[in-house]
Amino acid sequence: MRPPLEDLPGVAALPRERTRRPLPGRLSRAVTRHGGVVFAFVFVALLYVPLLVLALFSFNDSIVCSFPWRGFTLKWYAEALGDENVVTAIRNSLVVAAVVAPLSVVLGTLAAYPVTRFDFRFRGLASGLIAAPIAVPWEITGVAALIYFVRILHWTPSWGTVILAQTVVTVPLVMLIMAAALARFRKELEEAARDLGASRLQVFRHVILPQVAPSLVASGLLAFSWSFNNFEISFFNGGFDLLMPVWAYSTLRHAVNLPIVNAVGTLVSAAEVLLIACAYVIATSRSGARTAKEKMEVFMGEVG
Amino acid sequence: MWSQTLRRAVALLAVVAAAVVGAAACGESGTGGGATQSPGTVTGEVRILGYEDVTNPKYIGGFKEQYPDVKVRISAYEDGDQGLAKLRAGFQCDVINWCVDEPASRLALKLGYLQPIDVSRIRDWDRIFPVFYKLPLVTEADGNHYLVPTEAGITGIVYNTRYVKEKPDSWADLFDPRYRGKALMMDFPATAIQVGALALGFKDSLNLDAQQLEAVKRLYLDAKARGQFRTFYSNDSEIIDLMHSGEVVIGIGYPDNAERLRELGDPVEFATAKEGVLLWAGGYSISASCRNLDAAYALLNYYLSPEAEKFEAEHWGYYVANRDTLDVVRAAERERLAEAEKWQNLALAGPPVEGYDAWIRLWQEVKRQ
Repeated sequence: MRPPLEDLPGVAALPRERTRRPLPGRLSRAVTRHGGVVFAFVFVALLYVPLLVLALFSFNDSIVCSFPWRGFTLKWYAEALGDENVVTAIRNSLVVAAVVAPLSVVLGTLAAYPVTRFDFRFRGLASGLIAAPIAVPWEITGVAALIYFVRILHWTPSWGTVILAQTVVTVPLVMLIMAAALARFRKELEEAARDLGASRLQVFRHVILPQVAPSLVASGLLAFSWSFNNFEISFFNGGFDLLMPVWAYSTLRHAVNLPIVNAVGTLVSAAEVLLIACAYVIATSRSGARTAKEKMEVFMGEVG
Repeated sequence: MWSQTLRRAVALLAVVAAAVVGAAACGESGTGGGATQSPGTVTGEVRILGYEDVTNPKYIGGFKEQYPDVKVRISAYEDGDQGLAKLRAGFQCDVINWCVDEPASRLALKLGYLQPIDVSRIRDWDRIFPVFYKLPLVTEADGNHYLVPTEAGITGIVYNTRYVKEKPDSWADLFDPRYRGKALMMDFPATAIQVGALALGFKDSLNLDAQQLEAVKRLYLDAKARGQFRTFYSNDSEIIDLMHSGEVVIGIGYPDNAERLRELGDPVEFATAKEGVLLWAGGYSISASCRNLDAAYALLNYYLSPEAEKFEAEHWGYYVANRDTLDVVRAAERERLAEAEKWQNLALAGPPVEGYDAWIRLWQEVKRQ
């Protein structure tokens, strides 16, 4: 067998002409190497710059959200927290979200379990019907729920009816997340537990639940956030109970209120970022992931 | 025997006394009496559906102080259409706050959501500036009153004198290509289409036939095609932000928009258009489903009182309906508010209920293209 040309005596010592990859190849490599970073930067900027601008101007001593900077102030925060409407609206929205989130997690998980575990007639139809409300515009759901509560049931709208109406649109969200988590879960473990004599309830309680717990937490936090920020359903069904998004929307009518809404928006956004951070810690803590990359993979896997 | 007769007599007296007391009580809390209620006799709950203004604790606070036994509950909306949508879905309330220029308020009357107001129970009814009595809902063709007016304002042109050298005096100035990309229009079909019609020279801007509506649509579509309007805005915050940042130099707006911008150091003025000054006016109606008429009348009296009107004038810069307010406002406000006495020939900024669907469709088409 002939040796490679480079190994022949004297060839290695010859001066080599520098070889260059063709331009398209270099471009492709550069795009591969830096494109991801650029894309990530643009993506994050699109997501967070508006929020950062909102936060920035909540400290500006002016009623407008534009430069020049008029000086640092905390007065909008003081006004917001001193406004009984803001306090009432935040309290009501927290109560509503605190009920909607766990309720949706329970109902959504109970809905996800049979559609991913059992074969039964009309399974596709059943899962489609449960998921359908997520595709209906929230205004429609809001008006329909109000008509149902007031005209059919003769109930007075309040935060109680908001809870019921919001649960209708939040359960499908949780169901989809939990169905994805349950689909990833290895069915053999369940079968092994069943072979060892565990009841279905025991299997769910001791085998499935611990495995999907991070997804439950993540979907609960998402449901909480959905509920807290929901305007359409809250507007139509809140009756005389003031809720946060309704307060923010109606208050923007007057320009002087803009920085106060900014301040409240900043506080709410900060709290929600904190919630997501909690979800991240909870989702990754039990996974054994060590590097940031591994943790993010676990987190995205659990949430998605 | 005597004791039995005595017992019967006492029982009869007790029944008569109870009936008299009961009748007196009914007279005090009855719904048809002409007199206004004294605070101590009004109790229960009053439910208000209205603009965010009514939720302002300083505004409603005066009523709560006067009527500590009345529980006030408020549901706020951002425009009349939202409020009407809630009513049509079955929402119930006692008092509704809205503007008569919004077709929604007049449609609500047509749909039976309002009840006539007994103006003999409105203490300051005779103190209202004349122009307000002529407004829809305030006095209807059948002679009934469905709204107690409390506030008003005029809509005109807000402009930055640094960039707009010639004082605008026509709605057509908003469509001037010199201000391409730096003009602003309201995202409210009733106002936008009326302004378009006035800019085109149509005299009866509230009753437009199909051909005139088509011309208005063409005006807006051409303006959109050349990028005339920076955006269509829906609340004060937007016009203040856009004009302060310099992105917009001319736009449709209110006098207090110009005042706020001047406070921020911008050379901004307010001008009226020669084709017609648009008037908006608002107030309070009593819902057909009202459950506490006494509290509703007490509330209407409060909102029309100089005390509440003073807050409207000084806090929001509105014109007010009660002329007695001039005695209690700051001197700087007095001259401005007195202008309402002279208002005679202002055009109400709102189309008739019939045919308004065509206006909405037209505006949606303009926005879509």
